[in-house]
Amino acid sequence: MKRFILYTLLILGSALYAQKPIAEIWTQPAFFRPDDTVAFYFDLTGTDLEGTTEDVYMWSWYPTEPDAGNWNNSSDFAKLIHVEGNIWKFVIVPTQYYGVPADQITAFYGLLKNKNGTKQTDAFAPDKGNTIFVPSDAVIKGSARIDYFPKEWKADRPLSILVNTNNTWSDCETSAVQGKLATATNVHIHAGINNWAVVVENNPTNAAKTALTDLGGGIWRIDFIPKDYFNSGNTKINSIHAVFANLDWSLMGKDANCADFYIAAPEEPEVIPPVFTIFPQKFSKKDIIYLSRENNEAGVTGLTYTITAAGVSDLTGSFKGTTAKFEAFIDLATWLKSVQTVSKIHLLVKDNKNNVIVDSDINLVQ
Amino acid sequence: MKKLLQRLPLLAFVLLAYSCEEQEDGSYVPPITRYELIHGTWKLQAIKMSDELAKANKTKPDEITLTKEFNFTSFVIALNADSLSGEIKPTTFEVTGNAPALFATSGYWDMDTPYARADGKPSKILLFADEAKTQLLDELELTTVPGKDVVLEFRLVRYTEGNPYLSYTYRLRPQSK
Repeated sequence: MKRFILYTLLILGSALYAQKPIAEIWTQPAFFRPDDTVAFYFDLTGTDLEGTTEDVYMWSWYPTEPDAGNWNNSSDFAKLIHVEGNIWKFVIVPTQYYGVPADQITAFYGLLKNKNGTKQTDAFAPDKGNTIFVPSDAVIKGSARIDYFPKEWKADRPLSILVNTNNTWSDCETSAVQGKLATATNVHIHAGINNWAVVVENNPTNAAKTALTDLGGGIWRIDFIPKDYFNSGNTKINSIHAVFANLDWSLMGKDANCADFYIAAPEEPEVIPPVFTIFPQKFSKKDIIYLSRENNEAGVTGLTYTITAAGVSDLTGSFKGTTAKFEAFIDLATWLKSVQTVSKIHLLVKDNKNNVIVDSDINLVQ
Repeated sequence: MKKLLQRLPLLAFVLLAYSCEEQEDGSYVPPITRYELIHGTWKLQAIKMSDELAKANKTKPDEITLTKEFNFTSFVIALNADSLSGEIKPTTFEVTGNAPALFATSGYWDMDTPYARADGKPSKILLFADEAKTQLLDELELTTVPGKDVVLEFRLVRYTEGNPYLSYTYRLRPQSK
């Protein structure tokens, strides 16, 4: 029985103190090796560090624990750089930061915290499904012609495309041969989005922009944020087509059967627009009302309301629920009991990012 | 056939004997009034809010359950009555608990008719401010009368320009002593 109570308390305790997950993690570049400089980006929206004015620190325990023993007083070397809003970045050369050779680094686990450890995020680790992995070059080192990272790439986040020039096809106009691009001293990408609707050409004007970095062994890499690279604005990027060549196009690198390379955008979950409901349609000062908002946007972790009416102090509160559905029951009858006549109320609903969801007057039935 | 004809006189005699039996009807008992059925102390089991406009237009949502909100389960209403020469007469009412007060919480009660209405419409519990029952505060439509299942259910209906736009349905059971 004692054990049962203890477990119950532990479960309750862990539920009460459950940390909130990091909204999004990405790296710049998307493909890196453990001895490269890499920036880990973290979106802290919805965590206890959302909107913090304190410094934010890395607390990592894998592959090693560089700031061990300093939970209550994080070291300066573990400090992140503020990017904008709730976006923070941690720029390191992993082999240097963790003090181990590159072949011993395959992934990174940790969490983010304030200096004295009174606030923290949930972890990025295998059990949370958001481990930062060192991208594998096994595929591109094999028989693949191209590879790209991350697989679930987004138009507004870094994308790395790797090409193995030993495996690409050249001389497609005459008699196609494989691997000729490996002899080039420079490799550029000629690419377009949405079936070549918008193209960034491989030409001398774009030389710097289209240039790939030599990773050795015939493997080259380019990193870009698709939306910026193609200046696509609000146009949805459904696919990227590409061919590789040196700057004067004397050597080309194409896919099997001399086809253009094709990278499809990951399937995006259908975005269902949020629905705000005020129930019932008509009500008086003697009634109860119910507010709900379903299908909230990612990162919306809470809603608050402020209701004002002449002659009484404001009524404020928080919605209950999750991003899928938040709801609030509001007792106007008790709040407006002391007011003889009131013709309308004003409803203001905001989300945790301070976005205004509703800001309007509502007439009351008299 | 012959047998049947032989037995007919016997059958006729039996029928005749029954027709002469006197029936014991008992003394006159007045019908049970609504007062008898609904007086007492009732505790809330469930409450729902209905959007009458949504129901009329067949749109959703049209109902929301409030039972678990605002301490509604603490709602208790006492419909007190006097028994004068065996006849139950309604007197005062009082609402206790800390649920939101959607209608008057104390005063005097009565009904628009002590019996079921001939037109089939729900009879109403009338809540008054004064003992003389002249100052009507609220009306509650009686939707379920306690019977074999001892449940009292009434609706508080809000109207605007004679049309219902919102109602609350209270479902109650006798408060255990």
